[in-house]
Amino acid sequence: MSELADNITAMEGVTVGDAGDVAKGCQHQLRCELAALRPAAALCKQSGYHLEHITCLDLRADEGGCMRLAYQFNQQGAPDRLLLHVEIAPDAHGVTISDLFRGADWYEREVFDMHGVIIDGHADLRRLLMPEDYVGHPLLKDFTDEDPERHIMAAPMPAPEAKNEG
Amino acid sequence: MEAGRAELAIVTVAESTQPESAQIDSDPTQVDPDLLVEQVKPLVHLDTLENLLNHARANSLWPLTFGLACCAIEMMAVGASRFDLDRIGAGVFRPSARQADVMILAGTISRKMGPVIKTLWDQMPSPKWAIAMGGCTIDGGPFKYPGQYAIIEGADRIIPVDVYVPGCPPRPEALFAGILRLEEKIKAGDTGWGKSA
Repeated sequence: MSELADNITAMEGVTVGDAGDVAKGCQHQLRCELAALRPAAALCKQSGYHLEHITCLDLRADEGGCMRLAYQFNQQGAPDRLLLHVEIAPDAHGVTISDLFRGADWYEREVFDMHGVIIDGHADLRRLLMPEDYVGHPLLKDFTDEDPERHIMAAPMPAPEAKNEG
Repeated sequence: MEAGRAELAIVTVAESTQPESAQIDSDPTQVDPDLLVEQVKPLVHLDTLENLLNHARANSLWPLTFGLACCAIEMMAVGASRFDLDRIGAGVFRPSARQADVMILAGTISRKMGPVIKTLWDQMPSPKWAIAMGGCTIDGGPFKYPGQYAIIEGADRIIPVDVYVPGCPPRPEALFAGILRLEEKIKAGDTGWGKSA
């Protein structure tokens, strides 16, 4: 364990998740409550770590259904990747770290665009990839395209029973 | 003279080569004059003004400068020195839609970009033509699957396309062939008007 990982693990609301898998590129995998996210990110910032990625997983169909935000931090030089899982209720809001890491700005917009998770405190939470007047969040498991102009741009959506093929 | 249908005399160089079937004696005095009239194309060629204009338009295509995805790299190669689109008179890439008359759609058209392309097309004054370059602009290409949300499945869903150039991406030679095909089409009478829809 690196010093930073130790410090973050010692924080309130943080627990060690599944053992970090070096073969998959993650030295540390931690579970983090939403309230502990910003302090943990601040600690990463102070330690000279940078933000690599933010993404979201739609786990609402799993047991104890939730939306899981995944944050990755790393440092230059010796790799020490921290994977932070923040699990929130399906209708709960996330919290921004874009004031700590400017690079989080567009990642958080993407999470909002694709998964519909509202990120509190974000300065400019607009859609990133889809048109601004688009309705729906495409990476949700129950997504259907409600775009009234879909018939112009693309083939019709498949019937629901045919949707899970492949 | 009727406007727009004025007949114009265009002096063209007479075809110097005879058809292989021609059996003209080496002594011109012995040639049947009627046969000569059939076999030698006239020095003065009468044609309509439209055809002259179409000929000029076909050899002076001004493409709009914009690329959408990886096909644009090949399009840039076509414009650069190795392939040199200027050889066929289509290398004057214009930075403004107001000055362009051919739109080369080079790459994936995302859902967000669709309205932008439609606007650019509407800003181009007639006569105008469109070339769909690569699989994505033909029918969505590798990004097309049932229920996809990200792309427009073919450029012809939003603008009228004249020439399709298949490939992923097409080789520069293929885009050349597409532009030459468009030139043939223009010379054959596609005036490029009335395509705003």
